[in-house]
Amino acid sequence: MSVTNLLDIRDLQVHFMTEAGVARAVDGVDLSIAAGETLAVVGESGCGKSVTSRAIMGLIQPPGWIEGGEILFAGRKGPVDLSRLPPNGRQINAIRGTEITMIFQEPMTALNPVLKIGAQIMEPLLLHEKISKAEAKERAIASLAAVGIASPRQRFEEYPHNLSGGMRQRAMIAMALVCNPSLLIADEPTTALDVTIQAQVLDLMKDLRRDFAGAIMFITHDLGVVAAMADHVVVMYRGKIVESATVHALYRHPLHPYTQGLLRSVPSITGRGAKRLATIEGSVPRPTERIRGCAFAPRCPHATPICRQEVPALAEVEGHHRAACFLHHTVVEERAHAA
Amino acid sequence: MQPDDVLLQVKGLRKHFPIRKGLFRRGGGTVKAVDGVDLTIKKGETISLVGESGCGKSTTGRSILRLIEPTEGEVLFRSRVFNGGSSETLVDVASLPASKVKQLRREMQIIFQDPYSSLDPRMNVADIVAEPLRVQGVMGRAERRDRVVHLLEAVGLGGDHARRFPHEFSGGQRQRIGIARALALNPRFIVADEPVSALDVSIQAQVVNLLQDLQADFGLTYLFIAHDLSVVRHISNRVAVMYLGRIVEIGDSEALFSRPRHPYTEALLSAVPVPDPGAARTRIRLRGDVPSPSAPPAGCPFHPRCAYAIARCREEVPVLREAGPRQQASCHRIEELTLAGVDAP
Repeated sequence: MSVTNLLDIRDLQVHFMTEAGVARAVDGVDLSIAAGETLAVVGESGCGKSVTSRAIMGLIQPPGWIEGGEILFAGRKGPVDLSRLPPNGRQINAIRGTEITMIFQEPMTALNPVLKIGAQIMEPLLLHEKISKAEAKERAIASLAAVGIASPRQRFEEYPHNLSGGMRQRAMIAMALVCNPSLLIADEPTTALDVTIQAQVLDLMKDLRRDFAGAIMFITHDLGVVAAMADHVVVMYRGKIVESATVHALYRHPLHPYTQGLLRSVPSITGRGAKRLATIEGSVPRPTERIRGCAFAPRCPHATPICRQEVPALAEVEGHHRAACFLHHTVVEERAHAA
Repeated sequence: MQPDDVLLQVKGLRKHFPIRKGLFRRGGGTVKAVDGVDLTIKKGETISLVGESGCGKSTTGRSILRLIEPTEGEVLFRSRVFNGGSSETLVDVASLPASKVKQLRREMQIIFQDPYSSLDPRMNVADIVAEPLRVQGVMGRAERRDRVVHLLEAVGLGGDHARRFPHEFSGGQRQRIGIARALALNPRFIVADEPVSALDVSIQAQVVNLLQDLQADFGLTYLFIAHDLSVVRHISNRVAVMYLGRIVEIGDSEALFSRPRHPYTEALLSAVPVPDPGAARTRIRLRGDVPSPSAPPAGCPFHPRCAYAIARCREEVPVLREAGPRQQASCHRIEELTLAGVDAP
């Protein structure tokens, strides 16, 4: 296992049994997150981005299972393959909630409505760290203050329903950060929020990045949020990564036709766009549908016969910019010939 | 309502919901969800209502259609159904008896946000799309069947989809079914309540294009309710910004986005994340949250969060007044402030 990366996912496959057959929700994903980095995972519903994050958390439950691959995590007690740990075993429980934490789209699904905010933030501390209740309380209050909650001592004693949506999202972030995790997974953390509150929470997360040494895996479908938050981006389609690049390279020079289509189909608020929005024809195929060749080929304007025969590998096209597309494989091959 | 090009005029619309508390469900005050909205909608235009959750935009849209009963106000609509379809009569939708409201549904329709909950899972597509025709009794069975095929083709689905059920369709296709249903009676006016918010980016663009094509083909007028300002800018001729049950700014889309006149509009525009990592934008950080509509602040409802608030704003409620060519805002400081829009200088 490489020493530089906090997380290395190799050929991860997560399958679900459905009435219509086996759905390959995650179908051979490779990705790495370096310590302190913010990686955005982008894609539309059903692309496998959330399932990937749940696999990291050890939260894949029947009818789903990890079919293959590795999730190597540089834990505080040494490297560990998270995909091999028994769910709810001692090892994953020691990592989940302390070293790897998660925030969700809808804070009310993560907060217990009948427990006080303070008690919920103290819980991981009391479970995982050998500290007194008084110490835990001080840490929890400090954590509430760090996420910009006014009068944290008072909020500590309140219930989730006393807080507004934005405040709840802050409380959930406080809970996720209180144990100083090395990886924070944020699954659409601002999608349910209004735009001005979303801006507040994104600003907060950017501020926290300065103090918080850990890495962030940011799962979203919003290309505006990605541009604001990420260092590196991976784009997923039908359980696979189709493109991986730094945030600047991805927006300046998207390589995969799917990424290009996504970026073009977003209307511009500056009003510089065309009268008609560019679209990607058709819709995402069902997860149980078997597609020969590249999964995007049926919707791709550049598809060639080979795209319908073989699956393109995720290959490096230019420095650190990778794409899974035969259009760019010729570039890669030519360069290999020249060398 | 004088000029001929006006389709609908809303005057002093209010919708107050009582808060019921305690054993006898008395007292507890009211939520002023819509608190005095005036709005003129011209034939063939797309006017958008924008604002954050709880600002009253959906309640306004539904009160206009009488899907909920407005507490007060007039909704004047140039109707054709009451004169045999030939000439227009001015009716007040808000005070019309229920039997006539049903007739009015032929001209006023709605498209809902959630394509998963707005279609009956036990009805097939043909029945869903034909339901308005059946309820209104405007066509015979055979005629309805032809109409359904025609409608499905108009929204980009095939006639062969007619016998299938909603669960067999993707989100984008379901939204097309909802649109076909709204078009069944050949309406003139459609309230589109967040019609693309639940859709994926690539599908959203398809549905936005479809709505624009249908507007051109069928001569529709849209009241578009949305919170995604990028989509709003793309689709709208005019935009009205709502805050706590009131319109705080209204104007031509271009003017409002490039030169907002209300500080809340400015803040909303600056908060939109732009899909460009190199974009240098200054964001106006609004303090705090939207106050509860059951206890709006005194004076200007926006003053507790406004960076430009002065003493007068805490005491006096500003009225909507001229702020520029075809642009109105309710702010005491319109003349003094130069607010930033989204167009780079």
